[in-house]
Amino acid sequence: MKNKMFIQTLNKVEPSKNKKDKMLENILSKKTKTKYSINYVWKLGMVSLCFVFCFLIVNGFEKKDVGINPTSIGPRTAMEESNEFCYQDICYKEIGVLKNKAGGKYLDTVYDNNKKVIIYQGEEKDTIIVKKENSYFLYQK
Amino acid sequence: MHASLVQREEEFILIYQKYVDMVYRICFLYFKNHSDTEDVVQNVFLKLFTTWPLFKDENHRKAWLIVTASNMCKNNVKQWWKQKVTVGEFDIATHEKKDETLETLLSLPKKYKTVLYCYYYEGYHTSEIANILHMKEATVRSYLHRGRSYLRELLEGEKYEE
Repeated sequence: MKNKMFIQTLNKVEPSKNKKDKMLENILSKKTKTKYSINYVWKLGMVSLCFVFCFLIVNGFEKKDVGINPTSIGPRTAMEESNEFCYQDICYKEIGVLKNKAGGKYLDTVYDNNKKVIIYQGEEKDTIIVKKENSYFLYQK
Repeated sequence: MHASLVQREEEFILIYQKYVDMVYRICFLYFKNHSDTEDVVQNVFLKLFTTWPLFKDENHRKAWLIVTASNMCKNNVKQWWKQKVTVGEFDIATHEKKDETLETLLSLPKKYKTVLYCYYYEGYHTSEIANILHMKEATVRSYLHRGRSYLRELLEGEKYEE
């Protein structure tokens, strides 16, 4: 009897012929509601956000590279001739070697023969400290 | 390639016509309204159509549909939106003749519904249900017992003890 009651009750639950046909049509055309559900939109949004973040990160790095690329800007290149170091159209003469940057304020980063060179302000106004390959050189006008 | 797709579609239509009522009933037990049920039924059959798994026999296919329908319903019911919005629930009571027995069945705890459905409606044995739903046989029996007790309490022993 339990079985009968269960079957009788559940037999009342069934989709109409029209509903069945409509559902089949939807399935075959692959246009279910889930495609546009909150879940789908949420996932799509997350993927789009990831793309935006990746784009920003990659672009950010590229910008940084462009900033210190010697080929991109003229005045920020450096040229070394014997004991001279030319920076921003002013040539300096080497007057000594330092252990560190001696508290010099950071001025610029330039490239000399594709080698990174960092320039600090010297103690005197007419001096600069140049860091090349982990060595500090003191230059004067 | 095109011929195989057409063949698949034809086969799919036959499967759909055979099992749509079963999947619909399982989903209706969870959602208690027709619109949500229709959505999930479509998803279940869409999954069958797109993945097109290989089945050992007809029983395997039927079991797959029961498990997939049950899992999809559980996932859908779990969604926070569904937990907050309950508009349209029991629309069977408003749109159709009120059926107390059906309402009692629908008010059963979710975990007992599939087990009771498989046992009473589909006529599976407890061992088969355990195999299909990946549960222990003792758990299935326990769910059946609790589900029955629950129904007995709700129906006040009138129809159930017949």
